Amino acid sequence: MHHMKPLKSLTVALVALFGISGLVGCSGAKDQSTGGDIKEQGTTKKDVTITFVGSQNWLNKGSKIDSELNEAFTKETGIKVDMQVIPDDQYANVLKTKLASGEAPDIFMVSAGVGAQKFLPEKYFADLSNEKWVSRYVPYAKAGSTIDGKVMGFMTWSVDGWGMLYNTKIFDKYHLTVPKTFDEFTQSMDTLKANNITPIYEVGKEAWHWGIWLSQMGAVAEKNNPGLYDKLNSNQIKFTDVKEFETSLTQFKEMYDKGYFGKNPISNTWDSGYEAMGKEQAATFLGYTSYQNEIAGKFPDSNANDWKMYPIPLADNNVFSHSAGGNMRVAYKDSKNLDSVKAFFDFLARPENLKKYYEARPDIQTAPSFTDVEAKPTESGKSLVENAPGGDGMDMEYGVLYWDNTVVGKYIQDMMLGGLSPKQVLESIDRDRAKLFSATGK
Amino acid sequence: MYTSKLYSWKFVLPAFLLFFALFLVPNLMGFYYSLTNWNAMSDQVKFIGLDNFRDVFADKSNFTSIYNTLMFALVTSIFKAVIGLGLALMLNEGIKSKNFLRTIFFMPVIISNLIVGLIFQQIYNPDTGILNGFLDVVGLGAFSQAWIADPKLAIWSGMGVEIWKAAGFNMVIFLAGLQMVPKEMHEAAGIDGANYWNKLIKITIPFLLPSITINMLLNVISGLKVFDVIFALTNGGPGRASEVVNLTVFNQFGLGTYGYATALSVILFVFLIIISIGMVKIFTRSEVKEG
Amino acid sequence: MTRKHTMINVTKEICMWILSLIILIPVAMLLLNSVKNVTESASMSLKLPTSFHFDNFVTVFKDGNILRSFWNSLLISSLTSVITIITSSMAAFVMTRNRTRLNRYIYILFLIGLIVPMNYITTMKVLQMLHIINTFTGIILLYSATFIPFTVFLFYGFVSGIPKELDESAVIDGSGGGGLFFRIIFPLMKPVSVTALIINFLNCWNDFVLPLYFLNSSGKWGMIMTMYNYFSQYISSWNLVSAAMLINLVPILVVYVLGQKYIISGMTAGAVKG
Repeated sequence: MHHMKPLKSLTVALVALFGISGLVGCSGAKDQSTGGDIKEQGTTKKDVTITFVGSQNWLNKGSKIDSELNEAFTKETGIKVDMQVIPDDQYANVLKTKLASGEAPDIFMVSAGVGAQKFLPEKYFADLSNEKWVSRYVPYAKAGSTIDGKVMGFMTWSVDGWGMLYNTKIFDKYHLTVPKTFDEFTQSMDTLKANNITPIYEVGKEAWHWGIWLSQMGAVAEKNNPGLYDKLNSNQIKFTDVKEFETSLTQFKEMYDKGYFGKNPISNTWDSGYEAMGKEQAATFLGYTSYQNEIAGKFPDSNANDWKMYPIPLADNNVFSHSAGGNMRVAYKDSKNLDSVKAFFDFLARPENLKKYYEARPDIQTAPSFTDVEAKPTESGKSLVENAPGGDGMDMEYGVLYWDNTVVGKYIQDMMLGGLSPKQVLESIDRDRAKLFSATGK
Repeated sequence: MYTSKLYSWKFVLPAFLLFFALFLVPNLMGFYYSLTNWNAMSDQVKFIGLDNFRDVFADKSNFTSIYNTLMFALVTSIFKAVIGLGLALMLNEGIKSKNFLRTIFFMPVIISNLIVGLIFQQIYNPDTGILNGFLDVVGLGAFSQAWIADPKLAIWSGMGVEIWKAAGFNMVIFLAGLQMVPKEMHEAAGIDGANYWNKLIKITIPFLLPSITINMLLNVISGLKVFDVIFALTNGGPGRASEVVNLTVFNQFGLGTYGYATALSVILFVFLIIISIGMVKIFTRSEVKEG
Repeated sequence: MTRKHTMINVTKEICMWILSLIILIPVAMLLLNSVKNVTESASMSLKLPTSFHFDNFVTVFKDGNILRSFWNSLLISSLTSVITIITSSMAAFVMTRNRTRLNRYIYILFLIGLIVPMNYITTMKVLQMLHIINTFTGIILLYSATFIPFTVFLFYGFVSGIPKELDESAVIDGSGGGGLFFRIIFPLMKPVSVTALIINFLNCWNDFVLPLYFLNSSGKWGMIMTMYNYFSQYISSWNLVSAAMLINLVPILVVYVLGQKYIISGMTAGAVKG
């Protein structure tokens, strides 16, 4: 019998651990439930919990604002909101699996624009066209959340685009101006390089960031060839057929080969960008218009709030390309709690709650989805529009079916390292798209 | 005679039922999707025969990830086992602080791959990482590399992390196995004048054969199924230079080509079956011979 | 002889400590990072922080979810490990002792389980059919089913090393199958059981994928998910993220250190000769 003793002790230890945490857990739970009793006294609502699934990068970003608003809603109505935050890289798979097996959550988040198509809107999304808050949408929000003529999403985001954010101090110091052509651009980059400043900081470890570059070229290509996106989305034209794409990739590669991205761009992670720009080791960064606020927050001495932006100068681009509004919350069509979900959206759409929300999110204050909240455009946003005489357009991430920044970015990384030619990058994109088109019978 | 009563089938039943109903059946059923056009964009799942398999082999870019996976499995299996055995032999007896050292060497096993990936991204950084920093300090600065940014090196750096992480696991299995080596045999051989290596090869290793089988089989399986480490460290990059099969499967799922992705994972499964059964055959034969 | 042995052992010990730096340095990086301020933690290095910010841990602990998720992880991981170990050791014992054709086939099926990839949709449908989707029971049984192949495999190899004569003497003493197994055999398998316990426990503790699919309430999620949520909440604050990572690490380290003692206990009897 004495053989058993050590194992027994381990079991005892585990049980003890259980016991302790059980006690602590229980006492914690008790606190919560007494709190809950007080809250629910004033309401008649029964015990309803709405489930809400979102991708990590979309919720509580840099704050706890989503949790706080959920709690405030529970306090007022007694309806509980169970927000489930899923890691970004698992999100699409988890959501798709839940939808396909009939375990759909009451609320889930999807990308605005064509990205929503991936989750079969007709089958799963409730029509929200008749909700009161729709009238307070700004135009882009209404357009981005509308699918087949119906408003299907509740969006509290910001339309934003990507441009070349440059440190105005450094540019002034070397008498550089916003380049109008690719040649002007390479000249100014050469100057910076000669003065031991990394001309452009590329977060090249993140494949998706390479993809962003090409995604922005869609807007100018669409402007030059009206109807291009429709043709791409109905599989009537291929990426290899669009000369703007090949030109921009060829010039992009030239930039890399000339060393504009510094010594080891492929090692740079997203987070390292703040430091490189904030400490003025690099002069330019491909970012969104609110990115400068984030640098300024981390490196106040940089005066990053004064920096400006111009469009990516590849393939004679002079267009401000932007998203369809980011992402939106969608209500599950056959949810038992659809009324509660709508009440929840109503609650979030109250002007005071919208204001609270946007205040906590400096990254999406530039162009809020609702008219109630004042837009706080950044210097880069204003200057990007000024530097884009060609107008504006949607980028490919939001406008072209089956676009995936990470996948495209990997092909571009491969091109930079000499594995693929610009043409082969486009062929690879076409091949991936062909797979999905043939699968859907288009 | 008493075998069937003493070793009743009822003992196998709980494990088997649980495994069969909740794991084997659903996951093998899942293989059916490899024969369909199941994808993100349409609701109907249509039977299309072996088309997905044909497409997998028609796409040359899949060969890189298959090659990477095989190399990864081979190299990490050998190194994990050899290092694990070395650690186990060193820490089996004699050393005073062996308990403490065992804990240290096992520690990487318990750290989640996500954390390991993040730490090693920093260590491998060509400018700020401590690996190149260390090489500089000891005068080997010429050997510093862009460990995960160089497409030729990235997969090897991934192997390094896997070995770092899992050698301690091999060590534990070997340590457990070493407890089965009868002390008397070592003592007797010592009296006969056998040296350390003789004893190791003639006595210890044969007794360790079950542990070697376990370690190698698990190493090869986890090597071929590798996903987390590469995903967290390089995400298959730069480009697709360090992509492994399960990462391709994951990416294809992300794209929405579910049927195609399932076909790829069925192919990996077939590889795994063939290699594992082959290994079990080889090892059980040598075990029988020795026993 | 004795002095020579001591010398060798001391040399061995020193070598092993030097070697252990390979493990310790990365862990030290994590530790140092967890007490730095935001800007210093941006690039992980071995540099000492200019000032120690132990309040990073307080910040992480203030989150109300951490206790509940700790409790969830402990519940799921412990029950899974216990169920897996008991069922697997029983099955492995009978399959090694009684090598009928059927038992061999069943063993091969278990081995195949080691390599079958998971399909979430079909698994979800089976859990729905059994009405255990979104429950602790469901996720615990599912984890057990997933870990059983490996655990059976682990026990299978070691049961063969236990002499069959023991069984015979037990039968002579009047034991039946159950008595033989639980009174004689199971205690002998202690090293493997503890190894299996540690491995299953930590695999369960570190996994965050299955709960995402099979538990539709964040109130049932484990500690690693709480840690994940910190990633977005403390975006790019690597000091806080490191602190959260360390907090997540402590429980499994405790289980390992506790269990490790028992792996070793078997060998103290015939320890180093003087």
